[in-house]
Amino acid sequence: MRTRLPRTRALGALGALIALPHIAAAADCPTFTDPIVVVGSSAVAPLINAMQTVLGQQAAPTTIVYATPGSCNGVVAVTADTAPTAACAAGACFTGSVTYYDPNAVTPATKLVSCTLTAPVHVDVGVSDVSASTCLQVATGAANGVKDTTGPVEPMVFVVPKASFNAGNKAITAEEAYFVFGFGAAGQAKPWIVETDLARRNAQSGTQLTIAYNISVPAGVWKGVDKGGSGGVRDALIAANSGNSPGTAIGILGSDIYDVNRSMLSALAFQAFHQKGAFFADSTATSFDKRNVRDGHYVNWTYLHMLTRLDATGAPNPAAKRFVDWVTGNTASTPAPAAPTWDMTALTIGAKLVPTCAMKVARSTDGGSLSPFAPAADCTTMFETMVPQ
Amino acid sequence: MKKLALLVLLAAGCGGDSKATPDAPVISTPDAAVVDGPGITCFMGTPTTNDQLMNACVNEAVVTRIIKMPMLPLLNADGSLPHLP
Repeated sequence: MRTRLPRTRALGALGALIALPHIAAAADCPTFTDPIVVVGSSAVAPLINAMQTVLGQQAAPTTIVYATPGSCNGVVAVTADTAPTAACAAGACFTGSVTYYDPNAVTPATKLVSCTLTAPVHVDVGVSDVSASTCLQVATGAANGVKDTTGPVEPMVFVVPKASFNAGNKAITAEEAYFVFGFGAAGQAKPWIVETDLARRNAQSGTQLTIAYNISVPAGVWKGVDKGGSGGVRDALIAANSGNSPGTAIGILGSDIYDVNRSMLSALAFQAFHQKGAFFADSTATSFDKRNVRDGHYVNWTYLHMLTRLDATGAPNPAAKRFVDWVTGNTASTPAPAAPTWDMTALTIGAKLVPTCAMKVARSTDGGSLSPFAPAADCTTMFETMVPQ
Repeated sequence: MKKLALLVLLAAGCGGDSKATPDAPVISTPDAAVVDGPGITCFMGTPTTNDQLMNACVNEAVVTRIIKMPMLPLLNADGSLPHLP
């Protein structure tokens, strides 16, 4: 049985609560300092990693313990956690590999290291690219004991090996994607007719669920090979550059993952149903400005969803509250970390996501219609100044 | 002459011309040099709906728009999508 990680800094993260000797294998997790357990989407890893680094360098550090089993597994870990201070309910909590910031790590240089939680821990925040409704057809809200707070915008992209893009494969229409991922080889949507070269995720993936809305292929029936995570998709497509037929390879990624792998990968322009022409997420194939996401010409995007369990008073636990407040910039409720300086908008932009203050469109449901949006404090200038043009 | 008219439409509809009438549901052909056919259009004016936002005219000197007409043998005769297998 595993209950909540202790909040008091420097208490044993596992030793106090797991019936295992703390001299366990090196892969087992150490004592965490002021942990916040965050589980779910791998597409949002660059943002979480950036937060881990800044929080871990504070004089009084906080440790974000982050796992990436997929968006909907993060949602389930929280929505099923009906007894967050007791034994884990069925489907709740998390066991397995996590990353955290270790100030004493020599390698890797990022000091973001992995370990294995060998017994289930309660999850403070489920991070998901889609809502609980999309994942589970369940509602959130105070009456259901779970709060869904949205954060920055995550564009999702169809990605091909750079060799394929350079050979002329620069765009995909929603109709093409319908045949590619809905029919596989039988769809005859050339050149993407080799099912083993379709690098997809799975029905728990927010990336796949987000794109599924816009190509009318339910996430659970996609043809292709489940690569297990964003890293698996990335690696498969990079490897395809040197294969016999890079032109037949295609996959899906969060644009934040894609943006840091552009030397080997290329995103395709996407033409939605009823759209006249295909657009990149950015204004051009080589820019980073997410202009078409921000103005409505590119529709494959979603908001980061942060799922938190509410107690009887309707409040999240303190760790979850801090995380959500930091991401949403609610420094009136939770002061920003002091040093290194914490600028959530800058962190978000640096992580290749789009803060909502730079958006000109919004949507109220996953995959829903776009509508004009005017942020209360527009950060377009800051966004466009920070990203490479 | 017809080509000239098309170019005028291009300049008015997709070049960010401040003289464009707000909210006017004018449809223009954005790139006559690449596209010369019915149905390839953009929305000029202030977009308010999903389809208007997606199809709002852009300055194609700054924003890449790709016109692709893929061959999809399984499309129904009327152009609609068949049911998934």
